Amino acid sequence: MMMTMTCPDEGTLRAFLDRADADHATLAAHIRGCLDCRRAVRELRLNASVTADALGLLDPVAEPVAAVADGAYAPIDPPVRPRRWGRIATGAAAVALTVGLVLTPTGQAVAGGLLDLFHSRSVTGVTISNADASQVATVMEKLGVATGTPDTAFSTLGSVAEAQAKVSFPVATPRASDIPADVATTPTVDYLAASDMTVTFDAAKTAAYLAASGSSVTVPAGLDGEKLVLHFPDAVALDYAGSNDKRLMVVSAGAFQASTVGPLDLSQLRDFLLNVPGVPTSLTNQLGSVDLAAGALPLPIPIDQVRGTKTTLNGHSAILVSSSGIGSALLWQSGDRLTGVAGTYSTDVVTKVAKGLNG
Amino acid sequence: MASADPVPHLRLESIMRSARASLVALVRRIVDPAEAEDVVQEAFVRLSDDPVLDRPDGEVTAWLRRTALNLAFNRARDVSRWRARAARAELPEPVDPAAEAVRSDEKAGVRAVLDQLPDKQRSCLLLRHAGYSFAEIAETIDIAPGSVGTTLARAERAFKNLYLESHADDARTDQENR
Repeated sequence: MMMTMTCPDEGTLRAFLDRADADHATLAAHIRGCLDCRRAVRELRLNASVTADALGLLDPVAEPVAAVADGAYAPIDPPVRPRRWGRIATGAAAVALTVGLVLTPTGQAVAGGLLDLFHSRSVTGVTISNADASQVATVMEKLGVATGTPDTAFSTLGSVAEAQAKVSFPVATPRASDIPADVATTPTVDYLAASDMTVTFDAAKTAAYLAASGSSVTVPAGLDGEKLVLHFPDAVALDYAGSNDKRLMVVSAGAFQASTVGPLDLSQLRDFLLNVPGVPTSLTNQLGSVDLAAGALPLPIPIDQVRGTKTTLNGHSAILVSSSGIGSALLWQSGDRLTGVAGTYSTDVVTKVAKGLNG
Repeated sequence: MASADPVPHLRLESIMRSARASLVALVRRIVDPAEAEDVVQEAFVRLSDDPVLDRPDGEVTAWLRRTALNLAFNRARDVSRWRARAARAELPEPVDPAAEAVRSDEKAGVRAVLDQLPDKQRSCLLLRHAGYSFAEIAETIDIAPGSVGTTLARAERAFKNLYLESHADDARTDQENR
């Protein structure tokens, strides 16, 4: 069936991205099996993302929330002025993106594989502007070929039980008494299948890029044909929607995993990638201090519009992010589950929901 | 979808009450808050004389969105022309805190790029970004519902290319000024 389906036109693929298409599941199945459509979707998503970033600047601005207190991440290289197109979309989109940073590496696989070179066991924060994230993706394209796109098409299921039957981690559910009164008490249950993305390095391409950049970094022996396989986990999102764009989302996902196929191991590959010219130094400095061996997931925090603070939640290290006038989110990993609570609410409300989660 | 109210001015009032806030929020992306109120008011004034007022609610609100967007874009162009004249004449600009000045500058950059797009693409982008559904966009910019995806895809591609180009130009200028 999906083999015989004619490729949809660009307009249909664009509608698919916004879930405004007529038959999402059929289309998703086709796209998964069709390289041309995946490429087209990737391009459309990039265009949409850059546009949304820019248009976000025009959003009516709400009053800023109070600054997050202790330990707020200071960017390593504090920008003198805000980046021009490094802002994330505002409104509900920002909340979705905050969660999306964990689940759906925002289409261009934010930072490609760079941020996910390990099996995550805890989270830590790395501040990154959208512009820098795009730049990393651009650099990765110079070094090889990426195949497979992280699946970002959620399918809607009938119940939490149905979702639980599909995943190996316990699906987190909020206590009824913690759900804000202005959103629905029953969520939409969305499921995202696990997916893999493979970057196959090309030594000639890499050498050409390094030479063109005037870099003294040499291509490591064995890089040609080396594969970096990134495993994006399956995820379940409970979406509690209310009027006036009020929203609460509780997301549970498995752990990220990465592996290599070829002579280089993950740490060798990482050391090389962090020295490749074009990767923003603010990012490499931070990543250099992340304890990858301990499985710390360097979670990209979009500094342009979001403040991130390290905190702990029920004994796990966590990241609390908040965005002026938009909402806040809390993300942490316990065992093999990555959990996120995000909403158009204060950090207090989100933290309360997070602390009271079942499962 | 309510049918036309037998008493037109009552219907106009009821539409004004229900549509005002969302229209203001929409056009605030294009003009300053005070001007946004003006623009929406002007759209309502035009509506009071327009035969569309006899049409069903959905059509009336689509007409209002279209009219308000056009008015706002026209006004934004007038404002930028005025600023350009003011700059040439070295008239003092209102003093902004530095951060706000940067933000205004960035907003102006985004609006300048929007201004280069065809009307329907520009409105399509703004409406989608403001959260309107594909069906509402189709009705507002008067295209078939099935064409919204295509219009949006073209608009986003054109916007991205123009926007990145404008920043590449800025970066070159910055470099030269160092």
